[in-house]
Amino acid sequence: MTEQGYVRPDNLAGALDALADAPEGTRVLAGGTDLMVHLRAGKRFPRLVNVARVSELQALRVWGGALEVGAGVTVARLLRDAEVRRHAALLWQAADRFASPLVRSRATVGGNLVNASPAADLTLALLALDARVELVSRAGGVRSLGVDELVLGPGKTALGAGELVRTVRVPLAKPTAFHHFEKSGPRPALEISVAAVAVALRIEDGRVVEPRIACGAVAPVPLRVVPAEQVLAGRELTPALIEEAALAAAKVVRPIDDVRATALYRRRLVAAFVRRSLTAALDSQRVSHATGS
Amino acid sequence: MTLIGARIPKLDGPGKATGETRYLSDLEVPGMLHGVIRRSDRVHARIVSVDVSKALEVSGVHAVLTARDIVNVPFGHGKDNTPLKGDRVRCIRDEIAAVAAETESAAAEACRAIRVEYEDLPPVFTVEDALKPGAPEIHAGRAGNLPFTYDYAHGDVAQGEADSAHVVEGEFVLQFMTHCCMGTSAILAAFDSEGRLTLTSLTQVPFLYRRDMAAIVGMSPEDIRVIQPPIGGAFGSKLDIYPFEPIAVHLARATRRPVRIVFSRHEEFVSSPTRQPMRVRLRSGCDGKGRLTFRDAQLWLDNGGYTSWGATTPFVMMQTFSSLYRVPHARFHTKVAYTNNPYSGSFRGYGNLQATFAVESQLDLLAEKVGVDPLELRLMNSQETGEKTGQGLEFVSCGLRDCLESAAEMSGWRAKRASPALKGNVRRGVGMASMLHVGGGAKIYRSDGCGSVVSIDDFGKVTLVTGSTDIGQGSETVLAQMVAEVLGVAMDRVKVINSDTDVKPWDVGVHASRTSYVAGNSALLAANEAKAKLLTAAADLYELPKGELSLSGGFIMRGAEKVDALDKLVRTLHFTGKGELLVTHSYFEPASVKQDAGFFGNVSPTYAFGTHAVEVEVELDTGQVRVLAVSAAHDVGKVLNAMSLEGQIEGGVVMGLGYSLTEELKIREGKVLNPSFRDYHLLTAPEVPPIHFKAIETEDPSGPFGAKGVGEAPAICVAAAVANAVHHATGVRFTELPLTPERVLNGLIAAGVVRDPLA
Repeated sequence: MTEQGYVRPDNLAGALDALADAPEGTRVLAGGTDLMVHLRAGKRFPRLVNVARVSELQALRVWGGALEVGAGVTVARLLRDAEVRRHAALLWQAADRFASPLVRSRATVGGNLVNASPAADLTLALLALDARVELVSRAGGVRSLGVDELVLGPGKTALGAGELVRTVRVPLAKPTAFHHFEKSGPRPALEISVAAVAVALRIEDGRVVEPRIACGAVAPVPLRVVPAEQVLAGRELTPALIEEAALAAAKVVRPIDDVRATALYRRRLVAAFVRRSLTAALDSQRVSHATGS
Repeated sequence: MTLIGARIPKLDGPGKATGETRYLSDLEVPGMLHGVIRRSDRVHARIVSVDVSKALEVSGVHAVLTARDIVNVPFGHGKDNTPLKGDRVRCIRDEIAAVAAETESAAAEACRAIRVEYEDLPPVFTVEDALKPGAPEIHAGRAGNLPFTYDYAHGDVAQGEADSAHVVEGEFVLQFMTHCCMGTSAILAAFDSEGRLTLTSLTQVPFLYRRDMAAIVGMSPEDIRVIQPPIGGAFGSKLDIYPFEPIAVHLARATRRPVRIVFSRHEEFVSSPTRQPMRVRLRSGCDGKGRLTFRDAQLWLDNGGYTSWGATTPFVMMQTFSSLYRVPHARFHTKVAYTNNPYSGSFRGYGNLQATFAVESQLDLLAEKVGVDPLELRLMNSQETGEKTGQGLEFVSCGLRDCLESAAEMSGWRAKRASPALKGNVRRGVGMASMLHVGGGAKIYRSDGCGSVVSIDDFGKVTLVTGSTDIGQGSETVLAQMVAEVLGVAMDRVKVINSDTDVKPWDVGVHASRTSYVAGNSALLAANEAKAKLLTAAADLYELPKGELSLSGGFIMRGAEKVDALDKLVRTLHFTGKGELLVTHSYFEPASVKQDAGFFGNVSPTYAFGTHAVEVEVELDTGQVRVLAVSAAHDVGKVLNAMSLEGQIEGGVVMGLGYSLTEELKIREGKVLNPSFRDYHLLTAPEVPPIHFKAIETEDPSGPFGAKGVGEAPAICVAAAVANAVHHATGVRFTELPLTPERVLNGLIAAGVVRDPLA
């Protein structure tokens, strides 16, 4: 990184200006928890745009029927926020399993999305929650993408030249919603997922409505397992159905062997985690029946 | 006694906690250059050419050295390593060239600019392949790739077999593990104008280091001064000389500047020594009641491309096979074979984690065959004080039985053992294992001694100059305690000097759990002599009977009456008559022997024992093992410092848990696949379970205040206890470490304990 390659704008307009005429390969620096690792490993970028002072990226509020999360909001802030816990429990659970307290206090929602890791915990939750990501640029104004439209491959996104993630809008959870996040790892902290599963669904009149199941670290991108969702949609949750959905999910993921685990183990984890998540949903239903709520 | 057994914070604690301590990586001296090493890209190849011309063009570069530029002296236990490699590389660590430059980044850039042309040679990655007839010869003239074998036996194994009602046999596979010192490997080499060399070095063996380094760089040992700065962890990793150290000397010589080399974390993972990996085949037998009859062990050790101390771990392992519990007949055969993998060094426990894993796993198997509780089988076979083992180890104090019973009691053994808990997807179990290790050094050289000098200055400040080395284990604090105790002064009146070979007397080094015992006894001798000198002087001066005088609170006392202040008495000695200094010195040589060619003999003056009981939880659908509690009982002889002892125990247990559950340096085809903390999984604070500890005080007759060494002990039997607990929880016996979730789930599925979730 050269001296002239580092800018720290004070507001969104300044950030968009800095990005508008930026050379190819320019990166936005927020918490730096991924980028600094690259820098330490010797990787160089022609320009870094530090958005730490851009207050327009710090929104965290319920607005227009959605939870609006600014790209610069840290994972630690998500965890402290009661609205997040209430309206997007899945995002909160993912944040709770995210890296370590030190990293959580720096890492941001926007950074987790744009880093486009197949194992990104928040991205996985946002995918299952059907969140919309708002991109802004000086030239093109505002556009909105689904998580699966934004994240295209490991480290690869649909961000255009000069574009910046401004906010993420997460639909508010309905009272009938059930959210569950499962992640592997011997360590509660600092674990890069071997596999992770995020489940969001509703149970209405005893039937599963709009199930969304996202699996992490088992494909080049956080992956929705649509066949498993189809197994569940409109049906009553039973142990047999759970089994069917778990196997469908394990079948559709495309994991690889790497230094952390084999593809076979990752597939087994997907089955186990989908089973655990849906069993928890079944149990929560029983509890709500029992309490008459 | 007032200080012995007390909870006394480590003397180096505040500096380290506040960041005041300066480590070698913080140290810069005027004119210093940075050294960086260009290592091999291949695991086994002939070096066709090395072109350094582009490296020399990099701005700020002062020297670029290859094997052609230095006298390349073979060194190491096998005399098979050299500082730089000229004609051939044999493993991924191999040093081909080195650069000294004004900045580290210039040196690194120059290293990258060096062009090396290779011609690949057929590689060998397993001991099995290395020992096959016609295997590629990794070192010319070392036929069969077999630099070392070790054979030991006592009794008659055939007789032991005949006496057995039950025999178990199995194979155990142990992984590469690395030390993960918080401070990476480093050295600063500086010549003065008279050609004397000062090495600021992290070595654990400063005096042997001078001798060995002198031979490698062509100097006289007396011209080398070793300064030992505060260190960010060693755990055995600094027991040997590694190529980067003489390379720094060669760079300093070539540039006439001080040169410092500090490893990057990546380099530390790839190029610092590891725990010795191995395959162990063991047969154990017992009679119908459970009394052990024999052990028969065969081991295959991967020596890697060169020989470091890892190759000598059989020396320690055979003690466990021969003498952990009463073993009437034992046999041990080991082959150490060259491969193109990285090579191993010394690591806390020195082979004993591996040996104990095999021995203690099979004790549980035998207990199952006999139908007795594993605790009962162990109690039945444990030795008592005064016993001598088949290998000639003399247990002048032995608390093994107490350790077993205490660990069982702390863990709630009997109740938990009776019924392994079952809770849906989670099963719980408890397991135990014990250990035996040297507790007062090991006489592997002609001397296992240590020198000390105690002086008291005219203001009453006491200085202990000890030959011993503190690598963070807390010896400085414990030695100061002992001296303060004898001289009746407060801890803050004692200063310990232990870091400069120009000042301190001879010591073998810090290894073999020897420092508290050997350096402690040595310091005690000198302190007691100083005490005698003080009391004699006071008796003469005040015409009092010496036998009635004592030292306490900084005074010479007669009963409760103060005779004189310590500092005043020393001043009187200095300034009266012909004058006298209050300086004493001592040399302590432990009553151990160098073993004979058959490895018989009492290699240590005393031995450490311990038992761990571990409770685990196993998740059936993921294979995840969680340790819920560790109950550790250790025969420490005598508690010297309760706080630092707990620190040693807890640190050792955590290291053992990492070995059991998560830590493996993954080597494939000679290359390191996980050279970072991201993919090499140390346990972190949240996963450390409650550790219950009980010190068993057997008051060793030869130990300082009755103490014995315990530095390595707490890491040794963790893995076996964890594996035994996992077996209790699931019924599945794991013989390969670490117990990663994937390995455990595969084992549970293969044993039919759980259904394949994909089936």
